[in-house]
Amino acid sequence: MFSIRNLALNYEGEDSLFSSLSLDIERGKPTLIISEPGEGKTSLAKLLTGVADKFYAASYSGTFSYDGLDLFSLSVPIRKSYVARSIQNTDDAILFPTVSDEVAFPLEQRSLDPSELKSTLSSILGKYGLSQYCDADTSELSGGEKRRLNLAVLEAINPKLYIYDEAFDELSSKWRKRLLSYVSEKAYVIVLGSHYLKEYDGFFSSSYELKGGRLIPYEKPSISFSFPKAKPDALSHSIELSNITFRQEHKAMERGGLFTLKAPSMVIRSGEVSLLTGDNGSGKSTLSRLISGLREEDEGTMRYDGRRIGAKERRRVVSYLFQNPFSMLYLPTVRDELMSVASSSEEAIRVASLFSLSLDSYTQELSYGKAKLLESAIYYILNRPFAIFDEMDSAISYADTMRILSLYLEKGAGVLMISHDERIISSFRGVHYQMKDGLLS
Amino acid sequence: MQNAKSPAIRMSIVAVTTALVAVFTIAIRIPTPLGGYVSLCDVAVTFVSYTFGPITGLIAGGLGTAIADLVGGFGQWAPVSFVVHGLEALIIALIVRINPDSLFYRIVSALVAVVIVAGGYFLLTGAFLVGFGAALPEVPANIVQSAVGVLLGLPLSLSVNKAYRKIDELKW
Amino acid sequence: MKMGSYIYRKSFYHAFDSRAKLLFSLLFSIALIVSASVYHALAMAAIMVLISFLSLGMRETLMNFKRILLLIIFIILFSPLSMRTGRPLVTLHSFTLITYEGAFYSLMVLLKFIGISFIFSLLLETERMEDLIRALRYFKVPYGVSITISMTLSLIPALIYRYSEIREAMALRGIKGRKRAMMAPLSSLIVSAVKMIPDSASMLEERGFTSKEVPSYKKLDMNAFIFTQIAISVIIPVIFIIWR
Repeated sequence: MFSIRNLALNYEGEDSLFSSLSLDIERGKPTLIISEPGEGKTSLAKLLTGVADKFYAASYSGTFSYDGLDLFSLSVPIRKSYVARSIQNTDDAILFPTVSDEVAFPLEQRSLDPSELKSTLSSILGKYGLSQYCDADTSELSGGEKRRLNLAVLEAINPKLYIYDEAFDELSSKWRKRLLSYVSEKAYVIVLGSHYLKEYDGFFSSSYELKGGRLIPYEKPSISFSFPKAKPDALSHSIELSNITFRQEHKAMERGGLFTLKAPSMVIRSGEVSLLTGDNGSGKSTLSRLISGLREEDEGTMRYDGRRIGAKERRRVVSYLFQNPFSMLYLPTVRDELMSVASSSEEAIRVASLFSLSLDSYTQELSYGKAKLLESAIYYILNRPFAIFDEMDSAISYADTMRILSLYLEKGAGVLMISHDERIISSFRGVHYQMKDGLLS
Repeated sequence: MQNAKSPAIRMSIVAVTTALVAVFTIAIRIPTPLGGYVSLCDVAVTFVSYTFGPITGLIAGGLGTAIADLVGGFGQWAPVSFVVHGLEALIIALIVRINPDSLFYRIVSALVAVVIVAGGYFLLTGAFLVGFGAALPEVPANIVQSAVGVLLGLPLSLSVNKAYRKIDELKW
Repeated sequence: MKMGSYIYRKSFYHAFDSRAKLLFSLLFSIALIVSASVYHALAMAAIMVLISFLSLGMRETLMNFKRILLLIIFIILFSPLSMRTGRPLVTLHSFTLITYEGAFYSLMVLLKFIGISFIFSLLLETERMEDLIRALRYFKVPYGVSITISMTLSLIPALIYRYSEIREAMALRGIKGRKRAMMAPLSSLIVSAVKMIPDSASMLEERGFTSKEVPSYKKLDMNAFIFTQIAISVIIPVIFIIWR
């Protein structure tokens, strides 16, 4: 049995993330921990494997043991036989250029004999559907394939306690079911996630929520919650897509040929929210890039208020909030960023408090969630008629997502919201676009 | 950061800085009035030398540009790039170490870097690759490229240091 | 983005053991550099072009030439002018443009350049990067070094992709001022890269890395056939070095 007692963690110069966390993981009893983004679940995983204090300047207290063995006394490479985690951001989770090198590396560290190593490698690759990619470049994999690659690496480490950090994200429903069946074979499991998935029903022995630094028993919230109201009397602008076709080459290897996106018709109106959903790889971000003017359509027309609008002008009319907020930040402090777009320092101060940001914070030291808030604040000041929110709910809490949405709607913006969260999708009443294999409906 | 000098961290520092130099060489270019491109590899080499010190600079500068040559289809230049930019990075870092706060030493290091790059490429490609005759026309282009690079390197490293304070912990 | 120039074919040079190929490339380059006779250099350059034609085909061989075409032209134009001592070959009024010695020198430079270029191109086009790294490990390049190089090779496409994302995000946001607009994506890219350092170090150790050398899963073994290949790849260049 794995025992966690009175765990506390804080990063240098910051408030503590949790202060008295205790948990037991028993054999054959998988544990689920749900928490909103920013509450510390990845930090918890990093603390258990030992990298939070070694590489991320965290200080901690408490104990973590396995059947009496003090795991905190073990160095990271020794501890990995006891506990290992999957990595949330799959783009940053890759070490080596080829798939087989990547999965073989943990196997090599285990000093297996050569024939056992070879057979374990091919069985793990097969298990995660990666056999045909064994010589592929890791940089060419799709999001779902990168996720499976990271899970294969975790399997290759072969710890006693498996920590799955947001591992179900980016997987198709077929792979989610398969992953759950693999998870059920493991002796000790913690699954971390920010959204409750329906696949979880009936699977876990214990479910918790990590909130305010404490573990409380998890209660499934009532399904629906309210979206902010549309603003009907807003200045009415519209963006209309008709018969849009866009072609681009597939990034992934051997998938060959062209990816074709077709959007027969779509309208986004000021003061309203529209929802866009679809599996990973279906073309949502390609469509967003088209609408925001980063790409020019091959066929079809886009109209702004009835008039044809080209890619370059679309850029001034649409705010596209990229999934990774750090991509658009470059100035040292929050104040610098806001002042670069605000018309006065009063406006910067007002907006900063509206978005719960401290003006003196350093941008690169912000958490992912706070950086997302800063990104939203900058575009809020820029006040363009339309905005695209790309997976905002995976970076910040539901409450913050809805709050920002209502701030934008109040200003009369028309928002296209991209999400794959089931709670949001089922609560939404309004125009819902779906993207499947490049076709919009 | 506990154990800032563990092998894993040192390897990661070298890997990331080397990759940065390679990326600046391969993918980051600004167009010149003459219609060609100036590769900003020296910006990255300067930055790495200023920020991470002579050893990391030497490896990142030399290996980064060599790898860029190898993967870009100009493998025959790899040994030359390795020596020239490795030396450039080493000398820049050592000169600046004399007095890190002084602008004078930074300018000196920039001038020395331009000489090493333009002169080094001329001598080495002349002796081993294309002959001194054909190496000569490349000299002005190399002077411009390395000058642009080292001059941009300083403001860039200042702005990065301002933006990301923790970077100081990564010198070795 | 595909890293490297590897072109998949089933040729003898592709199948040639990576260690032998590495040795051959190194030694043959040295033989070319010390070459002192035109026929000698011509033979060596011709051998490399022939290997290229046999293992990659006409189209790729022409591509290899195309890449160095500008420099070939430079060599033909400027080398003779840089060496105008000796017996005149071509004169304009009373001005010696090209001498016999100059022509000889230029021809040598040209042949050596073509030869060395093809040696490198062939090495990289017939051998995958990770196999070259494994060959280096066989020649006692330290384990940590080979891991670092592999990490670098996977970080490069990742950073290039990051850079294009950053440029797009900034183009959308709109940045005032030309100097700012140029420096902003560069500094954002650098910070983004530096933030990957603790992530990479964590992953190395969480996967079990302890600087202790562990055998590669694709072990390079040695047998009579491979030994013969290595022997050939050493003997042939050495012959060319001795008879230069």
